[in-house]
Amino acid sequence: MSHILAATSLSIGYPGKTVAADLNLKLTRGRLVCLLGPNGAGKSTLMRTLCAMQPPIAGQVLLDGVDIHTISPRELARLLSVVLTDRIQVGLLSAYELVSLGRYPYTGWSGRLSPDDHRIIRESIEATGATELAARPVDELSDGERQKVLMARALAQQPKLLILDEVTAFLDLPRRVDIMRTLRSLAHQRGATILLSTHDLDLALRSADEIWLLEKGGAFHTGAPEDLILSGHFAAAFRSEGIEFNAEAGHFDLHGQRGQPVSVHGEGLAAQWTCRAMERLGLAVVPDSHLRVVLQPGSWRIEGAVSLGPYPNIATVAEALRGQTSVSSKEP
Amino acid sequence: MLILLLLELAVGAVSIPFSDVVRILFTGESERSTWLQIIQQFRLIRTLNALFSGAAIAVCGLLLQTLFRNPLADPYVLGVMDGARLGVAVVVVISGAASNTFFAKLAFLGDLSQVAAAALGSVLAMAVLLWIAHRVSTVTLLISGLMLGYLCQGLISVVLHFTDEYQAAAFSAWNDGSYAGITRGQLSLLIPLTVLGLASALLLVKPLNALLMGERYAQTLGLPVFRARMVTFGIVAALAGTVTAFCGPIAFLGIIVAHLARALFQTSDHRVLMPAVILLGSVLALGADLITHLPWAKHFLHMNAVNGLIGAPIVLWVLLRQKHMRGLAS
Repeated sequence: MSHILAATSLSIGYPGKTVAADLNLKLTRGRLVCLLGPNGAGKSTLMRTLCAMQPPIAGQVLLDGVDIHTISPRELARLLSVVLTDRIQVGLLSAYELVSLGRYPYTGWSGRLSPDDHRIIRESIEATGATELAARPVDELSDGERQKVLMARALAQQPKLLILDEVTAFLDLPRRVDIMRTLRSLAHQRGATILLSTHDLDLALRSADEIWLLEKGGAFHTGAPEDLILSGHFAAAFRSEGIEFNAEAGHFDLHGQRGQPVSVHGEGLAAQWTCRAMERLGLAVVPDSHLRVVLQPGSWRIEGAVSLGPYPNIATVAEALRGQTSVSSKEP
Repeated sequence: MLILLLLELAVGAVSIPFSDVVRILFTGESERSTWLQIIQQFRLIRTLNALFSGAAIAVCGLLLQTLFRNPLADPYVLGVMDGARLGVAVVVVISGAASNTFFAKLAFLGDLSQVAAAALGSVLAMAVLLWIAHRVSTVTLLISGLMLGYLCQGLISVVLHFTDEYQAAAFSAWNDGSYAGITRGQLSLLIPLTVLGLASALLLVKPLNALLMGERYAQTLGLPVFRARMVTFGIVAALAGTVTAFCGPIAFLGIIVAHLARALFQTSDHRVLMPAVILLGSVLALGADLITHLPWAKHFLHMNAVNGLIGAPIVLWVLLRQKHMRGLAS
């Protein structure tokens, strides 16, 4: 079996309220998969159903070919581990002790750890880059450090499948990138299969092997991130949120609608960031327009109804354009 | 602990030299028969009672603190003991109504029914707490426990209203909380019951550690959470019920000991905490009992007064520190 997790005709939700029906999904070993979708689409419900915290309304979830609800809790804990958004308060436990709880399904009645257990704990801590945190009390860690320790704990369970719910929420950008990089290397170097639900669309598109896209109303699409963008499913899923996905630029537009057209003429990194600046100003970058920003080595010029410049940097270009576009928008 | 034990045996209204205490313990004879009597009839029983009851109540505190994920949980504060007292009050009334002589004859059975009633009372109180705990925060749970305690006390008064004066007086004497008022027969029931409860608690260290992470995480670790909760509750009810039935409500010990153990060993790992709490519970109970019987005291101090003197500041300290931490987090 190449699929660690599979479900056919799966309906999820609560008694009396089906959130999504007839889902077909497969999870291939060694992949990092991100579950995306607008708020209220049922991401959490799907995650809970997939890790057996909630029964499906119809259909079944197969973990390694076995119905997940027929697996004993202890056996399930050896196959699947979970990182949740639950805030944990573990008193005086050190990070190492918290990670060692991951050995729970393997130890005897007293929870005594064998040398093997200790080795696995150390490896798990190393794999998430939490080595320096091991001796510190968990309650004193920052949010990002805590997530790493919790991921190490999940790894110590030696699962075939790792399910993470919103682990990057509440973290700053460098921490989020760090976590995603760790997850990627876990999947690609150590062969772990990882399912991650996230709100972090940009990061997910850039790091996931596969995207699961759950739309409001229960429509479900899977595929490589780029395929979902090309098919338009990605843009469609988030249009209801009032944000527009810019397929050309590969990110979400800050401005509701496209503004006045402008064309950027030049080459290299400077041209690329000039385009970004135009978008930030609410202008639509097009191949050719009567309003042109022309790059010369070390300076910028604006050409249009009147020619302006040269300007020494993008800030001064932006300042000039603000005046220019507001004037031109007043004229018919 | 050994020193405390000897002190406990030696100190009281009549002071007995250490050497004689040791001799009485090991040979069972003494120059003065009154000393022999005092030690064998009263002090030894009181001491053993303090040792086992202290351990039992301390373990209850630790179990409840982990179960409710609440650093201030304890059978006294949460009203579990009041539930047990209510159970005992009901038994006292029923036995009074049934006829005194009948129960006097079956004294052992009477003790047993007292334990059963107390355990049942604490189960009921805990069922209410469990129902509340899912909905509220730390502090609200504590207040709910207090209210539950008052409610039980009110019910006790009502129940006692229906009994005769003699029985009501007996009840209120028991109500004070002391290790002294126990008979040899009751002790022979208390020791096996508490040993059984403590042994089961020791078997629970692994699930308790998993529960530190919260119920959802514990579930993903393969712990049958519902079953573990129920077993823990059963143990607390049995231990708190037994001790309350024979010693009356013992205040604060459950909170103090668990925090002391955490502070001493700097860990939340139940594999360390559980034995530590059992030992410290015994020692502290012995110490508190010793203070109440110190020779310079004109008469006995109330034991819960001693517990309160130590316990209340600790509770306050924990509460204040928690507020401080929450302030940092937000």
